[in-house]
Amino acid sequence: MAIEISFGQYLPLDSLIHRLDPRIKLIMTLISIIVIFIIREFIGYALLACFLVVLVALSKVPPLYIFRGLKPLIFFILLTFALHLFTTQGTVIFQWWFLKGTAEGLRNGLLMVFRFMLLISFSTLLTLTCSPLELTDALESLLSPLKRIGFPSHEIAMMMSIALRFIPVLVEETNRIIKAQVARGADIESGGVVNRAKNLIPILVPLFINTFKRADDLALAMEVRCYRGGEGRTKMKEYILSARDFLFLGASIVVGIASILI
Amino acid sequence: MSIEVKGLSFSYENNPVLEDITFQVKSGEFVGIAGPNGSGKSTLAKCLNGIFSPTKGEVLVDGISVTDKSKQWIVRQTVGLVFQNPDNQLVASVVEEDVAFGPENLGIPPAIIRERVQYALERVGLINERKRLVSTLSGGQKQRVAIAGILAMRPKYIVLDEPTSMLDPIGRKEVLSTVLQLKEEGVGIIYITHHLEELVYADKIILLYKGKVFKEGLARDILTDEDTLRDIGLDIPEIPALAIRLKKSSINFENIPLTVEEMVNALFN
Amino acid sequence: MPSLIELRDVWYQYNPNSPLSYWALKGINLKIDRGEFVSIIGPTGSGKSTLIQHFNGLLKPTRGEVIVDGIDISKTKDLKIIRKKVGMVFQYPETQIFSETIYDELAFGLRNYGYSEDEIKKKIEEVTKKLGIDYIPLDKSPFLLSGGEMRRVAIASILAMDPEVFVLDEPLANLDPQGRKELLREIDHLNRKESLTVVIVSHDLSEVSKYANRILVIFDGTIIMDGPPREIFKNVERLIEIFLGVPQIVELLYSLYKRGADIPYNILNLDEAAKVIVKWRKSLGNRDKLRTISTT
Repeated sequence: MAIEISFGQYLPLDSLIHRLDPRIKLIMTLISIIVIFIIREFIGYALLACFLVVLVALSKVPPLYIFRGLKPLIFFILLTFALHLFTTQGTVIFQWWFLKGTAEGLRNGLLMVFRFMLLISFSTLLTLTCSPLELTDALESLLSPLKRIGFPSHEIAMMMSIALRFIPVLVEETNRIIKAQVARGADIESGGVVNRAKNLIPILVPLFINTFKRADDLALAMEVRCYRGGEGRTKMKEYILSARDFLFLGASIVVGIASILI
Repeated sequence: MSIEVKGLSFSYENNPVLEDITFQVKSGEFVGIAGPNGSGKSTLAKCLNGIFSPTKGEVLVDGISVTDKSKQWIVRQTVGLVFQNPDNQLVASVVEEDVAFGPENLGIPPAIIRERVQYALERVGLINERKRLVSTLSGGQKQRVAIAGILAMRPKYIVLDEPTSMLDPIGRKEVLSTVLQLKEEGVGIIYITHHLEELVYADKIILLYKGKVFKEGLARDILTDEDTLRDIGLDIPEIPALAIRLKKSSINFENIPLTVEEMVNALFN
Repeated sequence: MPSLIELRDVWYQYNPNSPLSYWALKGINLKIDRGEFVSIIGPTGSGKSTLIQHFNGLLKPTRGEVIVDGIDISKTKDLKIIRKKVGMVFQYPETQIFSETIYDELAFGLRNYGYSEDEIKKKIEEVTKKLGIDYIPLDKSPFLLSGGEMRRVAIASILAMDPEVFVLDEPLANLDPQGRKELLREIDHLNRKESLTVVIVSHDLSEVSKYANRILVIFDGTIIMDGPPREIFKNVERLIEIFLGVPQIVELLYSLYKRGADIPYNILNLDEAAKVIVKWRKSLGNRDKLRTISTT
């Protein structure tokens, strides 16, 4: 019944990875995502996985946190694996009822599993080592060249940062409202599609109303603290690229190219 | 240097919320504003820094009218506002990032912002929590982060609108002692509440009822005026209530005590 | 007759098998009987909210047994029956309101339990009287009410279901003194006149303690005190130490006692406190006189 979210949770530690420029971390993550989609061989994934292990070790993040990011998606990953295993044409290696598993399917399925796991692990590492604000600062900074053509990069970054700030608050609130309505005899898990949708009303209506109230309060609090858009705003954190940042960026480019070519 | 409220009236959709309110808060003064729900307390708070413009009368902050649009950011920087719900007024996920939000909006250079964040977090006793996630803090800590966020803008006055009503006893104590310490450091405090025992250290109390000033006076006079308080649905704090009963049994006090400490001292003399 | 609610060695662990796992309840044994007015007091994070969610099966014990009116909540298939017996009002219940009219909001629980519209109408009439909101037209939107009225409507929506025990988590939070007093008086009335079993959760000993006939103090997942208010207030020092608010009179009497006054400090009532202070001062006066005589 309770909702758990580990994605988007920052783990404030003091490590080499935490101290890297968030822009570099964001670019490194983007590089790894692109590379993950290009790779067609197991050995490439193995190399990338080794790189990930090194990064996790340097970040001092307990590996359990990375696995926790994977947990909610296990079903999805297994489903993808099964789909590939049974639907790819090729040499049949085993048969179960009407389903035929092929060697090609097994290979494709496993590749997909690695692809997903690496994808999620890299993104989880990013959100664990960057605070939401650093992340949005990085995004704003990387998108800022687009400002000239009227792209609202500051506004988008601010929205993201607030959304990330309020995820834990809203998750808690949703759980509380669900419990309160269940305590009034509400059925939220039974019945057909129509009934289920109807059963969501007592949860969604208060959630919306309370969220609007929060948004109102927050807007007022921001106004009181002299918020007036991105114009003329400064930042406490100055992001200055150092040799270390370029070293890590270089490393991830080298590993990326090697993983594709190997 | 003071906030001057002169004949302030405010209507919302033609319903009068505040009527002809006049008072003054000097820097370093602690003024309590008390009244039951619906007395217009929160509206008054928002009139003090120009979030709401008076329908009639005026509010001057160090001589600047809050309706002067060209100076509105100076006014908001000078008069900080802290609200009731600690969750709904923190903008960033990490403590120090939230405290930096105000100074960042003011366009202050990064090095100075860092100094101010350090200063503000030291004032509220949260310097060791600067890297923590806001969502992992207690209610009292969140409320102190909110105060630090205002302090980092170096205000001369802080208006606190029922800052403890959603907190537990320990959170209440934390916030109150922070506020008292700020007063000692020369910040003008306007503290809005319906818990009168929180106003025992106030210099002056204004009782608000149905949008009007019902009574104004020294904290000791207001807090011991059982009849007036009862008339507007507020409770006299337990210690002065007890003192009044003791007086009837001919235990006399030079000054009616307001706090446990004062009462103990009075009784042992 | 068996107890209405009985907990036998209840343990509860959050996030089992994860780096964030912790035990919120550590071996709770507890019986609540019909007609009691129990106040569960504990600082934030002590486990009091976790505890009450076991009363209606929103949470099930990791270890131990919870028995409500003879039914083991871990074994029963029909928790809905339990949730009707145990009416649960969460903190800030006005934030769970969703209906277009007050009538529909009050009818929500009753409809979930299949009452006929005639019965629902009757129950709503009763409950609005009991909670003093019968002056508000039932076809009004609940969102147009004042904060205090919304709180009452939300509480009434649970009371309408005729629970056998009424559990309220911080029902007074954020109300003004008048609103607090009235609501508490009405709940007390339900307990006395309608012999409804009441459990109120709070982090503050001051107000509820004047009405409750039993206080449970919970700290770090265990019950550390259980008894009538006067017994509980004998442990003022410990209560202050675990960050619980105690009534100012108790704090005062205790301070006097600590400075050597021969005075009881487990007193909750102003008049009684005034009496013991006057008595102590008189005895002090006499002794002081005696002392002056003997020294001269």
